[in-house]
Amino acid sequence: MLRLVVLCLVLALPSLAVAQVVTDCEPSLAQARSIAEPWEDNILSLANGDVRLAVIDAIEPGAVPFHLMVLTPPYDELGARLCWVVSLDAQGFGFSALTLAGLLKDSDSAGRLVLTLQAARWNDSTGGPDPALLHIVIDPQTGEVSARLD
Amino acid sequence: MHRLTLALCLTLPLAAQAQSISDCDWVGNPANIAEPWEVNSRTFANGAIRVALLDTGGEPVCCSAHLLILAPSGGQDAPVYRQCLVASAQPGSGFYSMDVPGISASYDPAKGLLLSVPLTHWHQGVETGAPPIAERMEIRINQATGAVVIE
Repeated sequence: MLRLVVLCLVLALPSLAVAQVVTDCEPSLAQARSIAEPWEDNILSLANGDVRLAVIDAIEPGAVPFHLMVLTPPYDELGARLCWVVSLDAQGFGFSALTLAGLLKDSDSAGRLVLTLQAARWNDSTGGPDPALLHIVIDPQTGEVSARLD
Repeated sequence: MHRLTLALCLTLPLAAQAQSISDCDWVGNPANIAEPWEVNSRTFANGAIRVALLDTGGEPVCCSAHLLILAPSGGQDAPVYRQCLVASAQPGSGFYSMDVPGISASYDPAKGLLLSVPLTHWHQGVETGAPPIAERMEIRINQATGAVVIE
């Protein structure tokens, strides 16, 4: 019986810490009008201004409207940065909550930004949000961004 | 004296050219909001209206600066949404520079909010060190109707 419980817990673990989706900025989500207000609370500049974060409030779907926009080097020949949107899943659903307040910032030995944001994912069975942490790694050298929610 | 008159006449069309307001297209992409955002954006009407400097990467040199305008759609028939508009010298072509922190605002209850935006126009003399042509763009924003127009 104990083995069965342990097996169930191990099988459940991957669902508690799954990779989130990072997509190239698409016009439907990454719109200037969708940057959450007030900007003062929902935008953040990192890496001496090279990296910009912005909380996106897509309004719909109502329970999961929040995404994170990430602008990061490398710059192109016109000085534009790469633009990414971090979402909950590939269906385009966002998070139930996402805030830059209390963001934890670190960097690893490769010079990548390692960020932790407070977020929430929608729980269908309870009909409410479950608090979660969104871990994001940004490499300003290559422009690669990865995200994981747990 | 005649030369001065001629020079003024050649300058006037640039200084007095019409400006345009258009829906957000590629120019209004948030990636074009000029850094630092904290300096280059402003709110008015208790946060209902936001403007920000857009820069299309400094290219073309003559006219890469535009103004992003986010304002309520207004109207009575449909749910109010946030309009995304771009003020340019002409559609797709901006100004030489724009001073968002220098924007001044006034309010007329019958007409709405009026923004006076300091900007400059490029001219060929800029290449040889002459200053760009300074002007102000007056933009009227009516939250009740959703109208955003150049005055």
